[in-house]
Amino acid sequence: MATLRQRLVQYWLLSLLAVGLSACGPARQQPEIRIGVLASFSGAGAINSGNATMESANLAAQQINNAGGLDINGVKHKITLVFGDDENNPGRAVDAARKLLLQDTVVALIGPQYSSNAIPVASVAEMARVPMISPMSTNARTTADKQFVFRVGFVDDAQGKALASFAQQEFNARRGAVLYDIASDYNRGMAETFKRQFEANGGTIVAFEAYTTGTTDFRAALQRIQEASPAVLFLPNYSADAIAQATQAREIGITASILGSDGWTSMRVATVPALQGAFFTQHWHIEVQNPQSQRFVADYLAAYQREPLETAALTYDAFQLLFLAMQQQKSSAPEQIQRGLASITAYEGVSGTIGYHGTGDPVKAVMIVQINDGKSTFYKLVKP
Amino acid sequence: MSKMWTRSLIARLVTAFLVVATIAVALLGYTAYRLGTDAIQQAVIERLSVAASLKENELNRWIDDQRQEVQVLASSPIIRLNAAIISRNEPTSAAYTSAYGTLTTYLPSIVLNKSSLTEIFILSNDGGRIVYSTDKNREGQFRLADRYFVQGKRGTIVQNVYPSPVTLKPMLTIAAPLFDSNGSQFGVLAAHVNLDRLDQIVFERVGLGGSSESYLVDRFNDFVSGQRFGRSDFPRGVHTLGIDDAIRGNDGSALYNNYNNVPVVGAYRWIDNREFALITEINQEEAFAPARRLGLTVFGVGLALALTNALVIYVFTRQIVRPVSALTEAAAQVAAGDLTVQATVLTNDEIGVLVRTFNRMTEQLRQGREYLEEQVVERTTELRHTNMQLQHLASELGGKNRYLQEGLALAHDIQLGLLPDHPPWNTDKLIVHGRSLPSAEVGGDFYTFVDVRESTWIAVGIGDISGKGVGAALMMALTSSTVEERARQGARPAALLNELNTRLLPRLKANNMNAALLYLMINLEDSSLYVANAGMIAPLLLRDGAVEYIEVFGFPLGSISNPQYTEVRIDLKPGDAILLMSDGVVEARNEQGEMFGFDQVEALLRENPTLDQVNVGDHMLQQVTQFMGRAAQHDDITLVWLQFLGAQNTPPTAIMENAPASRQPA
Repeated sequence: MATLRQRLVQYWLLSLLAVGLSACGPARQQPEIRIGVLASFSGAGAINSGNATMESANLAAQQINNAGGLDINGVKHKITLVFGDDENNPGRAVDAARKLLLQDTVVALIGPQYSSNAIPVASVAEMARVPMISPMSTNARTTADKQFVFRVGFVDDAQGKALASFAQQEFNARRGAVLYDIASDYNRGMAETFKRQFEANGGTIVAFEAYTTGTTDFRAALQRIQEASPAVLFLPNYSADAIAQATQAREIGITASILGSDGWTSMRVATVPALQGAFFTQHWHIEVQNPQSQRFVADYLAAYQREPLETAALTYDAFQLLFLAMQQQKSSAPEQIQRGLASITAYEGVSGTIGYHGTGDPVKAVMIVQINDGKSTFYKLVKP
Repeated sequence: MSKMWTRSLIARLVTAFLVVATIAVALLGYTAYRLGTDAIQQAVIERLSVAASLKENELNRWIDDQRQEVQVLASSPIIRLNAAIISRNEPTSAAYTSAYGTLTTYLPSIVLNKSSLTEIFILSNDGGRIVYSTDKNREGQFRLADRYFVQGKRGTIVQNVYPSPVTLKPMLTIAAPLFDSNGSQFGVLAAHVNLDRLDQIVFERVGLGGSSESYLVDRFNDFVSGQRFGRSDFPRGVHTLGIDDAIRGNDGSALYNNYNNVPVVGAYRWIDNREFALITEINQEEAFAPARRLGLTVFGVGLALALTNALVIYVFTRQIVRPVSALTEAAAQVAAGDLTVQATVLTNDEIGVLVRTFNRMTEQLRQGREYLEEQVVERTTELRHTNMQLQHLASELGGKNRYLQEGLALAHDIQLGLLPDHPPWNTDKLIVHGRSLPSAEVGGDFYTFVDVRESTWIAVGIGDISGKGVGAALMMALTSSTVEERARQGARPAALLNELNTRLLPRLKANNMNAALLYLMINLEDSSLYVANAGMIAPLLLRDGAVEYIEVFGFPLGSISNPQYTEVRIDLKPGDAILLMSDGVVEARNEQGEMFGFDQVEALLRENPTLDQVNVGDHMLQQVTQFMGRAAQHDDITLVWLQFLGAQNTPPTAIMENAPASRQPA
């Protein structure tokens, strides 16, 4: 039987313990913000894109966390990244996205980069009412009819139009040819947009050749193109295919100027002789001089000792947009983030000024670069 | 209320019983509910598990059926042949048209007849292009990356319910490789399965009650049905104890809150070959309703029993208390004085005995009081009798008293008659007046005037017999008659008093009386006055306007046996006046209790030397009477007034001889 005095001492000790625990609490458990990063960390022809995405995402998160966290309403929040691999496969992308959204409970999704993955994932995100920003997806369907899906780059329609106009103005081309992967939404969409715009500008598509993913020998189609004698050859395909196609085209004797789309982006360009002088579109180029870009490049070089790819630049912009939206809304709730993103009208990012005006598509200039001496150089900015 | 509580034995007993009984019954009800719940939980879980097993088996059987169906199609020679033709020939070729036509006559009818397959399509190895589909819109699409295509090239595959990358709608696709007649694989035959049947199997009631529910959840914590993935009200999936445990690959059952946060009994299992969790649940409220009913019934019945018991206790207690109440009431009546009351004997128990005892006690009390009352009546009667006798006696006495009164009145008259109105001598020389006012009918004072026989002497006596009434009057009469007898014989004052004392002493003594007497003799010839006094106030001499006492004193007659009275001689001068009075004059009291006193007597005498001589005595008496006012007269008041006008020529010698010369004043 404890005396009153003993009990009082016990209570006193307990209360000390309680005060101590409550004092320790906040220090241990900094609130965190979980952001899903969904990209092709494995899968055919996508490794460069995946690596760039991961490096850029880590850079963006570390910069915030090194500064103590993201300040929302006076509280520093730790940024936690949860990575999902879409394996560059739409079905896998959907699975990975559902895991991030339904089980990892991320408040926002960055990615996927490729439109073929981004389109189905966008639907999943929309259904879960979680904002998604695809840095690189250019397909119109990615954001079409969706509230929660945004992108950083321009849309296919814009680059198709820009390229068609560029070809006609730059080379005075009247005859155009297209070789594209009909099994891929991106390639097919680019091809069709280009064709439509080229023809609308008064030109003629003399050859519109399709192949399916996995093809390595394009000579039959190229032969037909050769026979049609185009002035420009548009190859809206991913790097590996484009390199093979250009090489084979030159072998056959096609002399037409070669154009590419932003799908060429991750080809670490191009010691390929056949591609010398070729033009393609980009969202960002390292030569673009603006304070944001310079700082980003410097930070990236410092972190990884190599120059950032365009994917990295756009991914970095996607994170900055996300942070901005959270700070503006003073909340990291998905619906609040969506509202914040939709209200951004002019954010000065690494890849230029970004603003959303009722859609998830920013209105941006299309950059055209040329491959010279084994590397790409900024050539021209085609404004919308 | 509390008053009733402390006063009512019944209220306390019944309330205490009800409280205890209610607690006991509530415990009993709760125990029944708990036991029932445990039993029901076991039963419910078993039934849920059985239902889930049935569903799983049915699902597997159904999908196996579809799988076989697709396999049969893929191995059908007609399909293989024609599929190979359309995969390898240009759409414009005749062979293509023919082969396409054959497939068109064959496959759509299967879709129509076999409701389980919604679409049958053939993919070419060339980019996963759909070369033929029962859904014409889909032809020309490339499904290169789709799992059913990639894996279907190698063997029959069931791609379990998955979201279509295009529409995100749930799909279940079965694919099998197509081989040409040479045995080389050229494509894949795939079929999307109608998931209505899936919903049918899954959502079919478990048969446990209205709230029972079964549903599928995929490995991403999302609802799965034939119609859609997820639900708009659960955009971030569903997470419950059952779902999470099932997704971890476990089978089990538990009590937990479902996705709507409603407490349920749930059985869950991970169906690995279908890659989803099958959850069967029923609301605890509904599942445990029988247990609750049981508990409530037990409680209700228990309560009813308790109330019945309370009623019985009430009745019994009343039976015990009622005789006590009756007894209390009877006791109260007894306390109020009614001894005739008898408490009713309602029982033969201890209380009955008590009541009887009480009644006996009351009876005895009553008898005792009746006896007392009888005694009182008797005594009262006796007293009344005595009273009557006394009244009789009183009236008798009253008669006697009247007689006595009459006697007294007569004695008074006689006594008054004894006192002389006029002196028996010639008043030319000496005027004398006597006045007596007796206090009772018959007084003790007297005075007398005597003319001594054959001499020049006259004598005046004034006396006061102690006591009043008849005895004193008789003594007065005796004394005065004795004085007069001796005075007439010429006895000298001192001798007369001595003789009188000797004669009257025995009588006076015998009657505890004495008699005061002042006796004086005046010789009208030589104006000498001799006076002796036995206990009276000394005579007052008014001479030339001055008042003085003639100093002569002695014991009252009857006081001692040989008093030896002396006499005083003075010589009167014409104009001298002498006042004799009984002590009733100076002791007369007024209403304030003040005495008349000697001073007033002297003052009166001094103030009235010029008054008419005759009226001095009357005036004095009038003054005294006036002084007394309404105050009662306690003693006889007697005055004698002597006025000396002048001496006679012949002295009463004979009498002088008797007078002792030595005692004559010089």
